[in-house]
Amino acid sequence: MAERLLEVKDLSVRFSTEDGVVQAVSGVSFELDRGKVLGIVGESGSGKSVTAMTIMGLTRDVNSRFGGEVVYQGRNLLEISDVEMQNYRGNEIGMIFQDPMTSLNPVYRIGEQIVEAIQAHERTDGKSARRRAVELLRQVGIPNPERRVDDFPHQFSGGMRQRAMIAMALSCNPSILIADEPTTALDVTIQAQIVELIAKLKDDFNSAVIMITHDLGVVADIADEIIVMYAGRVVERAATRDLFYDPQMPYTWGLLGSIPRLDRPRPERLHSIAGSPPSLITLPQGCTFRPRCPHAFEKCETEPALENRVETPGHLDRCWLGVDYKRAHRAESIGGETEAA
Amino acid sequence: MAQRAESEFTLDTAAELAAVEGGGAAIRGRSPWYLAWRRLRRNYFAFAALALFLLIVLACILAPLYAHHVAHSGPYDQHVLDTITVHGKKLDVVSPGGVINGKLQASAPIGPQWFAAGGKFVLGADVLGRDIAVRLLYGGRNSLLVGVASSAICVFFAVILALLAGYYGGWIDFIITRFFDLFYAFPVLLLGIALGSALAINGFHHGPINIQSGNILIPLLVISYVLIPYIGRPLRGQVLSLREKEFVEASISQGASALRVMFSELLPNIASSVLVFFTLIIANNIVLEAALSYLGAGVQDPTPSWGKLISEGQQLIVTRPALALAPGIAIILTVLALNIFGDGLRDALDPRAKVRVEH
Amino acid sequence: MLAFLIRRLIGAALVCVAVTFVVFVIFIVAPGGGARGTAERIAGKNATDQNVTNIEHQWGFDRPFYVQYAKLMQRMFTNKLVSYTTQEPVLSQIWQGMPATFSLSIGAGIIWLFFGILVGVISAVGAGRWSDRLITVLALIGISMPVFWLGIVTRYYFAEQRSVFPDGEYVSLSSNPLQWFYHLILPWLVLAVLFIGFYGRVLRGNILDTINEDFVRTAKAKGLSARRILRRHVLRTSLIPIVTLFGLDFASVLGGGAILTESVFDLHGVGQYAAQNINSFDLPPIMGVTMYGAFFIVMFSVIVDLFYAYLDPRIRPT
Repeated sequence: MAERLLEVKDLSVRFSTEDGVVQAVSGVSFELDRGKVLGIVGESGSGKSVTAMTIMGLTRDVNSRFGGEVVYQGRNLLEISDVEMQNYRGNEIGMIFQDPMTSLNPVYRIGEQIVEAIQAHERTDGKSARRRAVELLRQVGIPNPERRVDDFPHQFSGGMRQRAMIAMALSCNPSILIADEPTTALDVTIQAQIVELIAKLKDDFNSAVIMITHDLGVVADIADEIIVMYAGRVVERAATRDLFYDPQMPYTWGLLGSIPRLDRPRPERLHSIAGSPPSLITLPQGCTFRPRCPHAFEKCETEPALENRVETPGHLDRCWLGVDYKRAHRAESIGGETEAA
Repeated sequence: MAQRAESEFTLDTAAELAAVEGGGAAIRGRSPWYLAWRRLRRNYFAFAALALFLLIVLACILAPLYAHHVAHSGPYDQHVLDTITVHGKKLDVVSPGGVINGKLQASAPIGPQWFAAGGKFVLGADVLGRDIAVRLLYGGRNSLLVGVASSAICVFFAVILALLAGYYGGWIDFIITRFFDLFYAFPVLLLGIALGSALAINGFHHGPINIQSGNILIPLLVISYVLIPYIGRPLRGQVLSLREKEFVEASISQGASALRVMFSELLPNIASSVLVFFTLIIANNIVLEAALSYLGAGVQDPTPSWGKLISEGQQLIVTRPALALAPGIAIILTVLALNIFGDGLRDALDPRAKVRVEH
Repeated sequence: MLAFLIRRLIGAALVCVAVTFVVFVIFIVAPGGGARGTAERIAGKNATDQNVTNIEHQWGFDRPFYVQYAKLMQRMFTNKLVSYTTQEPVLSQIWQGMPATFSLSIGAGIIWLFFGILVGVISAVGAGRWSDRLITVLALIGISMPVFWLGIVTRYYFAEQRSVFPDGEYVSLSSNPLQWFYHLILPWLVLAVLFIGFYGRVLRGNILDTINEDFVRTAKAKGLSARRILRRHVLRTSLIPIVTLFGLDFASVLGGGAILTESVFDLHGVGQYAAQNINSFDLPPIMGVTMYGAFFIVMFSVIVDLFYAYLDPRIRPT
């Protein structure tokens, strides 16, 4: 029985801006067990990064309002003070970000920054901390770590910087690693390496991973479960295999269809989802995807609840369409024969 | 709490809502100038400052009216031997001094009458019997003229040089940057003094151009010149980074001429910086002109300017503080107003960290 | 690193040479007026016709430009540059004024750097609250005040009307340290006010910008305390531009840029020496002080560059 590390229940996040109230996240729920990888997939503005940063408490601000719960080992992280939250950040939950060049402080050496992370949570002297930093760099696959630990971030290549960031995030053995678009800023060849590294480290450190991306291809290999987010809501949730082989949301079809594939019989145009994401200040009524969905019908004017509509119990979706209809018609959307409305 | 926040939409969002019946409206594109204007509109402080500045400018423009109708005296009219009537009593405009009641008293001009003398010598007179209030307004005209005109010229040349240096790069950039660096090496005030005093003795005589020594054009041109590097360098930096952006490359590859790229692509993107610089440089130049004129390297006798008035009033600071205080306060108010407005302008054009949103 | 230093020094030397040329242009060439007019300018107000003719020959105004330039340089560096109005050599006068100028600049510099940083941090940390707004307004007023006016007013109120402070003049450090200090307090504060306001606002802006940087977000994600983040990540980065600014402003003040404060408080420093000669339109002293000021700035900009390379490893040549 895997240990349940994190439970997010009905999370909602609202920001007041000069243009109005932005409903960044609403009604998001999921669980994370030790040893598992959860993928969160969605476009820009879907709320995936806000969700992750809220778990870390990084969205706390005068203008933000939270609802729901983020329960980590029995405590609701949304309710504890920021000072208490510092004990969890880096220590229990680590996070890496999209652009490793700007995410590392350019004036301090890599080793110094890792040591800083270690010494923030553990009583170690400088020497042992430094030795651990070297070991961590070795573990993430950086060659010559004894020498490179004294380098500055600008002396590393992009892929190596991201590895260093991962090393830093794992330095205090957190139970959960949140990776927010870790490969987006990297070359395609490096992307695969980083994803593999994360999977391997998850096993080495016996932790859990939340991988956030807009690219379904990135999570296909390592995720156990995938959540698809749109306009701040979870629109589909399933085990990876089920998501790829039995997707229930037209939006998911669009995402799958937009992955360039080499195994198609004849060359075709890259399929994209027409339209653009809705404003998070004035959300459409009913199903949030309705304006862009080629299969919308009258019932879609009422927002569907996130429910299990298929045989597999863990597979949830937010779509009124009949399951048989979906299975019959989705190939068109994924394959791209019907141009989206 | 959440309920209240959700119901507070701005006018635009409500209009947006109304325009689309229930469906999700896509995010509407807005030009950055419009957004900046909207932000500026909400900054009452900045607008109050702008109003103050315009009020001061207006008052100075109307100086001749004041001189003629209220004070009955021009800025150069000396009333050393005149007397005025205050509450029925006759007073010397400039008292002769000497031994009075057994005590040795210095010759002193009359102090601020406010409106007791019917508008004459509202703020008093100086040693030559000139009406301070009139000179204050006329001085303001000169100070503001020099301040605004010199800023315009300075910004104009700085922009041109920055565009040329940033766009062409190579040896043109090298020369222009060396030019900037060279003048960065001089303390601004010293440079202004150097140029100002060198030109103040005999004026400027080269070929067909002959500017006499007392002409206000001299301090104006000197001040225009000294700050060009200080504006030019940051603008050049911006142009350089813009130059690398794809839209510039796109424009060039479409065959746009150098002139077109500079004025249609690069210039609009530095426009917001230029606007902010312009406002703040006016403030800076007014103070610089005051400093130069105070020292004697700026506006020359008998032309009034705020800085000049302060130096004239310095001797009498003990007995007649108004002479030195009034022009100083005028400078502070004008420059403060410009700084506050310039600040508000900069915040509107380039908003930074979120400050509290009330809700 | 050594190569970098040598290159910078050579560059600085070249700039100094260019500076001498610029001084030459400003005073001799730019105003025009021909050989006679130029000689009249240099000769000053009290010159007779014979004086002017002598000067015209001695300075070579009837000769080509490069001869004039060479003669000017020779005069300047052999202490033969003389004010014709007062008959005193310019370099000696500058030398005499340096202790006062240095005392004023160093003291004011320490004050404005310290308080400028303090004000910047306080207003940034309390951004948006009333403390921030109050400080912003005060800083704006400080920047808007002409420093010479402030000097006149404070001298009047604190030293002439009442004797809270001594009424101007400079007392050398070696003769009476306490009086030296006492006489300098008011000038120090007056000179510092403008810079405190300016530096405070620049730092506030830098801090607010830096707080939004990605690496600050990473620092938070590591679980560092707010204080540590402010100190080691935010301030360390925000202060770098301040260092550059300070280096140049300090050099400028040291090089006679505090003319106004020195004049108002009668400190008889280098700046005042230049100011005194403006009204009599005596050019040689002004020439001398201008060059002296420029040299200081060039020297300090090399120092600042080196310091900058120390602070920001990205610009260090590898």
